[in-house]
Amino acid sequence: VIDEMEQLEQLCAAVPSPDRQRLTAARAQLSTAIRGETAGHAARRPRLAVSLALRHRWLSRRWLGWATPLAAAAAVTGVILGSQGVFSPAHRPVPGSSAHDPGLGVAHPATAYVAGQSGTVTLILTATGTALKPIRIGKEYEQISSAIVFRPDGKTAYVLSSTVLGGGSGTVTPIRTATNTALKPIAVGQDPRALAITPDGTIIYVTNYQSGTVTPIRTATGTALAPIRVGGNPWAIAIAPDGKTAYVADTRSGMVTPIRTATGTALAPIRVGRNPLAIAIAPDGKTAYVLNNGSGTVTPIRTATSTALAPIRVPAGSFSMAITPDGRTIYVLDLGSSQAQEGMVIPIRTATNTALRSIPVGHAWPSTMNIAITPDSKTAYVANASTGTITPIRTATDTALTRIRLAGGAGPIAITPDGRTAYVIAGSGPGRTGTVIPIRTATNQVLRAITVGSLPSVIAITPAPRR
Amino acid sequence: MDRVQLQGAEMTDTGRQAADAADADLDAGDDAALIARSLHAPECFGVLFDRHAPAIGRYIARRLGPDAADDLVAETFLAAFRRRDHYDLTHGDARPWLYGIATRLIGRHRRQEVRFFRAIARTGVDPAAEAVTDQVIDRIAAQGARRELAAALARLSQDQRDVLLLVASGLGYEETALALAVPAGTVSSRLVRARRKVREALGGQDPTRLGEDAP
Repeated sequence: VIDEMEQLEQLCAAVPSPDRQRLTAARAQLSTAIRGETAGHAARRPRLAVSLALRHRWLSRRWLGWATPLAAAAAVTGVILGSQGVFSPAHRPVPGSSAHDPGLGVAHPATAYVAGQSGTVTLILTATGTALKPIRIGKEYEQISSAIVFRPDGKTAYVLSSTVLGGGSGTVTPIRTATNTALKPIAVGQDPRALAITPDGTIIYVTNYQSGTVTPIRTATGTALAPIRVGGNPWAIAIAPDGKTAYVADTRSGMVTPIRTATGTALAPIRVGRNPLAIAIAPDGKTAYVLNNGSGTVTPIRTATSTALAPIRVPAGSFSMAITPDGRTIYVLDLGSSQAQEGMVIPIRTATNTALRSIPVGHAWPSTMNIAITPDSKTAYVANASTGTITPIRTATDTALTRIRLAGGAGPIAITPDGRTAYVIAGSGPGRTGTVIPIRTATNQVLRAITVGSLPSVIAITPAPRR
Repeated sequence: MDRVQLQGAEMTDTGRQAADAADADLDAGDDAALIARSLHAPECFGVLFDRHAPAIGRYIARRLGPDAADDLVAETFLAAFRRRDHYDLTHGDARPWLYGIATRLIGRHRRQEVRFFRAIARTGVDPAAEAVTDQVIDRIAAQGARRELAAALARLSQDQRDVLLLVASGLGYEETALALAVPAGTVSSRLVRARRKVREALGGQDPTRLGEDAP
C-alpha cells in the first residue's frame, strides 16, 4: 500500500545526487570563505575556541536564532590572503631596477599572472593592458590557486594550487614564460598555503598546512625533495636575502623554524606568539618580523643569533603585513575588532621597533584587506574588499591620500616593477568572469578593467630582469 | 638525478600517509565536533560540506529544480559557515540545522517553487528527477500521480510544504521541528493538515491500486 506520504518520499527519492561539477562550484565558494576567514579572522575570536569538553556548558546562544543575518551570505569576492606573495623575495624589487627606466620597460615588458578557481592562469601584458589566451592548469572550480612566484631570471612562473574537494592536495605548476606553456605539475603536501623561492632561484619551499611540512622543490629538475617537518600547521614562509635561511611560521605551536637551505635541515625553532600568520624580512637580512595574529604582536627576530626580541604591540586580530623595499616601515593590517570599527593600517618604524599612529581605511569586516608597496617605497596601496576601495598611503608621512573607489570590489594587488601601475583583483562569482583593474600610480587614475578567469584570487607580476 | 627522483617518490608516500591520517582524524568526529573544531580551524568546515552537500542539494533540487539548487547549496553552506559560532554543539547531527537554513533560503523563492511544481503538474516532466528509465521513477506509480502530487504541492502553504518535504526527505519529526525552529507538536499538526490536503488532491486515485503497480 502506498499512501500519499510514501508517494512524496518517492518523489524526493527520484532526485539524483548533484553531479560533481555542480557541487564543486558550491564547494569553491565555501573554500573561498574559509580561506578568507583563516587568513583574517580565525584567531581574532579566541573565545570561540571551545574545546569539546566544554560543549555542554556552551549553550548561551542557540543556533535557532540564526535566521535574520542570512543576508550576510552574500556573494563572496576573492578573499584569499594575497599576502604570501608579498613576503616572498621574488616580489621585492630587484636592486638597481630604477622606477623610471624606459629602456628596460620596453625590452622586457612585465606580465601580470592572475589565477584563482578557473583552472587557468591569465596573463596580462602590462605594457598594453591586454590579456592573452588563458593557460590551462586544471579544471574549473576543482582547484584553488593561492600563490605565484617567479624565478628571479623571469624564465619560469610557479603557481601553487590545491584541490577544492577532499583534503586539498597541493601542486606547483611551472609555467615557462617564454612560450606560455604549463609544465607537469609537481605534487606537494596537503593544503599548501604559501611558497617562496631562493634569490638564486634554485629551490622553492612550499608550506603544507595540513601535513605540517615544508616541501622543497629543486627548480632545475622540477622535482620535490623529501618534506621537512616543521610542526603543526605551517603557513607563512620567507627567505633571507642571502638565501641561506628560510623562516617558516607554524600557526599551531607559535614557533618559527629556520631552515638551512644548503642542507634542507630544520634548526631549533624560535618561540614567537600565538597564531603567527606573516613573516617579513628586512632587506638587510638582519631582522625577520613575525606577525602574531592571536597575541596581537609583531616579534622581531635577530637572524644572526635566532633570538626573539621584545614584541611590538599591534591590535589582536592583525593578519597581514608588508615591509617597504627600503626596509624603513612595516605596515600591519587589522580588520577592526567589530563591525563598528574601521580597518586599520599600523605602521611600525623598524629603526626603533615602535608602532606609530594607526591609519583608518574604512570598514573592512567581515571581508579582507590586501597591501602592496611601490618599488620606490613611496606609496603603500591598501585594498579594502568590504568597501571596494583602495587607500594610498604616503609612506614619508604615514598619511592616507584620497581613497580610490573600484566598481566590483578590491582584492589582492600587485605593482609593476617600474612602479607605474597597480593591478587590483576585483570580485567575481562562479560562472562569471573575474576582472583586474589597473590603477595609474602617478595620478591614482582607474583604467579600464581587464577580463580574467572566474574567481581570481592571486596576482603576481614578473620581476624586472637582472643585469 | 635518480636519487632525487627516489626522494621525490618517498615524499609522495609520506605526504599521502599524513593526508590519510588527517582525513581519518576529521572523519571520526560527529558534526558537532567538526563545527567546534572549525571555530578555530575553519578548514574543518569543508568536511561538513563533503558529508551533507549531496543530500542538501537533492532537497533543494526537489523544491526549486536543479539549476536553482546550485546557487542555494553554496548559499546554504556559506550561511552555515558564517553562523557556525551559533550552532548548538549538543546536537551531534548537523542535518536539521543545514536543512533549516536551506528551507529558509527556499522560502525566499516561494513563487519560483510554486511555478516549478505547477510546471510539473502541467507537463508531467520533472526536471529534478533522473531519466525516466530509472527504477525509482517507475515506483512513483504513474506520471499521472506525479502530476497530481506536484499540483497538490503547489497549492499548499509554505509552512505545510516545508514540513511535508522535510519529512519526505527523511528527517524525523523532532529533526524537522529543529530545522524549522518550531515545537514538535506544531510539526505534527501541520503534517496532518498537509497530508490531508495532498490525499484529497490525489482524490480520484486509489492509493492501493498505485501500490500494486509498483515493481
